[in-house]
Amino acid sequence: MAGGGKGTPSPKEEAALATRRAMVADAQKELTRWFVEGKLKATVAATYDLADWVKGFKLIEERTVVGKAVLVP
Amino acid sequence: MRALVCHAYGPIDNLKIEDIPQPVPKAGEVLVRVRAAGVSFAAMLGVQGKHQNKPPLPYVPGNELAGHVVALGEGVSNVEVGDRIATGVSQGAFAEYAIATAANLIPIPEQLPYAEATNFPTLYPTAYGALKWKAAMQPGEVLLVHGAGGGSGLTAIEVGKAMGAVVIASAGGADKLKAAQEAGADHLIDHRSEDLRTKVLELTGGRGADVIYDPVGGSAFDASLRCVAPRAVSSRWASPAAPSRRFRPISCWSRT
Repeated sequence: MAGGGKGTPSPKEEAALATRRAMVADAQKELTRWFVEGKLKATVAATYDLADWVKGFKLIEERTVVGKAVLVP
Repeated sequence: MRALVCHAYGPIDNLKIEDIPQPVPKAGEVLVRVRAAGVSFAAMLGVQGKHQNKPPLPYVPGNELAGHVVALGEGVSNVEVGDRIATGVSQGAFAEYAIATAANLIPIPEQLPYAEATNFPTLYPTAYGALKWKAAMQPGEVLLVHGAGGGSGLTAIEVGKAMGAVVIASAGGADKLKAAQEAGADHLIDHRSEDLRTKVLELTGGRGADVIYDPVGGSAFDASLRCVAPRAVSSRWASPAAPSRRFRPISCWSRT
C-alpha cells in the first residue's frame, strides 16, 4: 500500500490503524471491566524494587511461579 | 532519573542502575511516571541480544508498564496529566519515567492496582484477540487450553470463562493443574498421564472441543486435531504457536 512518503502512512493505512486502535480500546475496556467484576485475577507473583531486577528476571526464567514478576522503579 | 541500563547484550546480571536524563515527550507521546513494570520474556531476550528487535545500545529495557501521566507531548488530547494508565512500549519501562505513545494508552480504573495492571498490555489482549477476534468463541462452547499452567494458558482460561466457555485445561503435573483450576478451569487433563484425545471426547460426549488455545504447538497441536468438534475444523483455531508439521486435514475428519 503506497504511503505519503517515507514513514508517512497513506489514508488507507491511517484508516486501518484507526480501526485497529478502536478494536483494541474496546477490548481493553472489556478486560478492565472483567477485572473490576472479579472475572480476571491479574495475578502478580512478586514485586521487587528496581535494584533487585535480577530476582525478577530469575523468577521469569525459572517458570516456577504463577503470575507476573514486577519491578518498581 | 533512576533507570536500569543495558550497555551490552549479555547476561541480565550485567545491567546497571544509573541516573540518566529524564526523557521529554514528542508530538503524540506522553511522559509516564512508572509505578510498576512487568518483567517479560521479550525484555529478557532483548537484554541477552536474542530478540529479533535489537535496540541500539545503551538502552533501558522493559516493555510493559503501569503508572500515571505527568506530561503531554504536542497534540495529545486523549489523556490528561494525572490519568492512570498501562501500556506496552518498545523499551524504557525499567525506569522512573518512560515515554509512551498516547494512542496506545490503556486507561485503568482505581480498583486496578499498578502491579496487576502490567498484565493488561500484552497477556490479556493476546488471549482476548485469539478467542474473541480470531475464534469468535461463543458462550457455552468448549475451549481446550494447552499449556494451561503457564502465564499464557492461565490468562486464556480466565478470559475464556469470562466469555462463558466451558474450559478444559491441559497441563503437565499437579502444580500446574492446580493453578489452572484456581484460574477457573472446569476440567483438568494431565497430559503426562492421561490421553488427551480420549479425555476430551469423554468430557464432550464425543463431540470434541470447539476452540483450542494452543501456546505450545508441537505434539499438543497434533493431539488437538484428534479431538476437535466438526465446526472447529474450518476456522476455529486460536493458536499463537505454530504446529510441528504440516497441517493434515484428514486427521480432523477421522479423529483417530
